[in-house]
Amino acid sequence: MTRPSFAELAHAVLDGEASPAERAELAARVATDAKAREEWDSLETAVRALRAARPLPPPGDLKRNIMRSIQSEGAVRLTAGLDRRPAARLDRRFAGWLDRKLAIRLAATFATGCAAGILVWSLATGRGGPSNLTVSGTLAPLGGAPAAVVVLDAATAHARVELRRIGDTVEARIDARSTDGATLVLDHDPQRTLTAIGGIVPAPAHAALEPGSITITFSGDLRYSLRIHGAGAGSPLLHFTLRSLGQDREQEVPIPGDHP
Amino acid sequence: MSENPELALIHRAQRGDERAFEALVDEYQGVLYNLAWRMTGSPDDARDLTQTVFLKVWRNLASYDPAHRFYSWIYRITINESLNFVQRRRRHDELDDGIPDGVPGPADTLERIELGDHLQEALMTLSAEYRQVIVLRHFQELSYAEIADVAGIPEKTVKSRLFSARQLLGEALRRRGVTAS
Repeated sequence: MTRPSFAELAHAVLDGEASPAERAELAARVATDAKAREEWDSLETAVRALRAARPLPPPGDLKRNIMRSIQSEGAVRLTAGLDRRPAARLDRRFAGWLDRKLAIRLAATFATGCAAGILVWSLATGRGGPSNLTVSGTLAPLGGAPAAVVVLDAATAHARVELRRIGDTVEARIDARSTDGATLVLDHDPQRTLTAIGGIVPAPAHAALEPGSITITFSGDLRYSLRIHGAGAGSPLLHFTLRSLGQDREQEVPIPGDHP
Repeated sequence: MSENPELALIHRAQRGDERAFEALVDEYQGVLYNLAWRMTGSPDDARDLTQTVFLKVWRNLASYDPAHRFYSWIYRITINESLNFVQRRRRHDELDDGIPDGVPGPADTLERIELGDHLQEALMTLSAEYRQVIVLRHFQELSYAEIADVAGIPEKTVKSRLFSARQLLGEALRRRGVTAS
């Protein structure tokens, strides 16, 4: 049988895979061979140092930043019967020269533009009306603390809507859940324009747009954002209706910061 | 038979469920961050890399094949991203890496805090290929076969690289005054 090399013996011992006979042989070689002793000291130093090492806790904001970048990525996952993953295509095409963060910002802008374009087209032509527009994606949030919160419970559905305002834009962030399917309707004054929509909508879900209202049909978890423009235009009220299993729950709230 | 909970999360994330993906981030952020840190030697770069890796995972979830282990897949992405990063940094960065190799420090035993610095410095003196096997073996505690899977190299190569890497790491530590005693 071939005699194992010093390296084989040493690493078998360090990996905890050596037999007692192999351990004894290594000890004998280290005791009698200066070169072997020096090599063993190096190996032992390395392995003991590695065993003593401790992991570094990840930064506290790491998860939040990851999820933000995922949500920005989602912004370009608009599906209006066109392209399911434009973000990936955009990135592949320009990956060589576009900075990643810039690409994400551009993608978010692109998604916002697309959503606005789709909406304007829908409203102007009357096509792509109720139940024809399927949207998924996320818009960068406006930020700030919610100025108003609407909570609705109807049968097996629950919805919470936070309203935030910046300038003449109001963002409605919807967080809803339904085990048996539900519909959430937002009625607003048609003088106001709903220029962008987005969110993570579990399929099948539809956002049906009409002048003055949006109807979102969903099942499971729903996270969705709407933006309404037009400070001081028309009625200062937003009317929310949640429908599930024949039950309706409604609530009307004034648009935060809108004082006609 | 009920589905493996991690696989269930992956399937939900593949359908665009952010909450499921968030659970995967919870599970793996620490380990990927440490993997990237050990490979790059910089906590800041590790943070950016970890973020990039998760974005890549999210984008490519559809291509994940459940026949393979999920951790293997994401470790591989992390290692590749780290290797690319280190290569780019080496190509473009004119800055010195830090403490020059070969300068003996004060005699030191395995005091954990000081050793942590010496260890990372010593690790950074190794080539990326050697560092990779050390990190996967000792920090991620993967077997030779698992390392071979993640690194995409034969098991025999893993073994020989690990032999050399441990030897070189030990020498680099001893030059910094760290001993096994």
